[in-house]
Amino acid sequence: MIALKKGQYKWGFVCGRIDALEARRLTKEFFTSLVSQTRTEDIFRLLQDTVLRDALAPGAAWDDFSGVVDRHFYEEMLSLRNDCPDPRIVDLFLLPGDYLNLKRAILHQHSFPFYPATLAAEKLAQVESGDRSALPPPLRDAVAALLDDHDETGHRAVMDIVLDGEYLRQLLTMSAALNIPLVSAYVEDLVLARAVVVLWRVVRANPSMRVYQQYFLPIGKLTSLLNDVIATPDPTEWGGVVKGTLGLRLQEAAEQSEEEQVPRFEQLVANHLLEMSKRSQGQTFGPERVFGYLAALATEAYNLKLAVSGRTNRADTAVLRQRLRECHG
Amino acid sequence: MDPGWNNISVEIGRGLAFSGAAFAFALGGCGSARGIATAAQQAAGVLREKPDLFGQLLVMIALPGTQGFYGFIIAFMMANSAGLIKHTVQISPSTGLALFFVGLGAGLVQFVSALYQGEASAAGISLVARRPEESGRAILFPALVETYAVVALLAAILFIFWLTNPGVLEFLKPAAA
Repeated sequence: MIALKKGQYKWGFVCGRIDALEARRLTKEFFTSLVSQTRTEDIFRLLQDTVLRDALAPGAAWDDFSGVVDRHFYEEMLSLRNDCPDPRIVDLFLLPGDYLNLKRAILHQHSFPFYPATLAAEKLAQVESGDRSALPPPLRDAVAALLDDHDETGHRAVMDIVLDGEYLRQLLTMSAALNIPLVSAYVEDLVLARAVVVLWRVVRANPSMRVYQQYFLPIGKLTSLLNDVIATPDPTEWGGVVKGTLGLRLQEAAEQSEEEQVPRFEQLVANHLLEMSKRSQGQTFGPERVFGYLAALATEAYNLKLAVSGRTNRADTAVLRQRLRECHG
Repeated sequence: MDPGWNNISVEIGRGLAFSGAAFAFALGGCGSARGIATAAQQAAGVLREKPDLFGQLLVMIALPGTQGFYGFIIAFMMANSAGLIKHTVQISPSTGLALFFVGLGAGLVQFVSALYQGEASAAGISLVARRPEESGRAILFPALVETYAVVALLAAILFIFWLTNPGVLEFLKPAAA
């Protein structure tokens, strides 16, 4: 069992807030009930009992529901970040926003809608104006490789690959710097699972992995394992290559029909990671407690978007129920 | 005995006893301050989201503060028994040394119990934040830690009393034939 840090008194305030906020988290039963609704009014009525009550004005457009959920949870994360003795814990969850901002900067788009956790707005503006020296060294090299090796059309094609790889590398670096065993174990499994999902989708679309080996790898100490995965052409055999808990999840997902394999694996991994983060509930105050809560928050946002967007678009209830992830509540 | 030497030995005894008293209130006070800070940080976070819980949390914040008072009581009794107020009291160096260790031991118990009581209070506050109806039970956790601070206080009082009143237990001896 992973040991939790002790005597982290300075985390008392933010953990006290989390104690109070935790009572507002939604249960699996709530989501099961939500995906069973057939009328939009009933979905709206159910959501009135949630934290989204104030964000959902009567007559609001459902098209922007994902945006409403993202904004709400994003604001909660930022509010907790302000009270954290070490904001890097929250930055792990805000990092995707940084990379979306960076992508906009590289594409010379002027606005950066996400909170700049590790990349300041000024640096993004410099990147947007063509000055790459503003970026931290590993990212500078990746962006330089991206812009120098390709023309406009070419670099757009590999940009997502480069940024995905860099994002995963930065997650590993940040978790190593935090030096919290639970967070390190969580992030390592998360990064491995994300990398496997990316490679799995590539195999399904196009068997050539050369571009990915060039721009996506290396990913820290997982590089050799991912090279072994790439060397195995059949994804249904990857469970034997990866081994451990994720290997078992890969084997379980491989038993599904081909189009269900990747979503099933993503769901199994999300449930595994949430289970891992629940260990933090045994801690009164400490960084793991905050991390576990944020993991729960991210899962809740995913479930809300899946359930509401799915039902408003008349997706099948049984499929939605199957795709729901486990909850903290 | 040489009166000069007698004065020196009394002063050594007093000095040791006063040092023990200093340890008792210093350790008790430091522990209480740390314990209250731990509980208060947790409570402040809870109150940020649920201000209506203030009444239920206040007792749990204040509980680790009792060790500071216990330390003060021990220190006062020791100083008084060693002649700080009534200068006619004379204690030997061996009694002074014994009082020093009574003060140090009792102070250590107050210090450690206050730290742990702060953590127990924080855990109780965490429980109340999630289930306000459990506030009655939540207060029991830190209260149980308090038991050992009270035991140390009582032990210290008894030891001070016995050490500075040598004949007080004479009645327990069997009567001479």
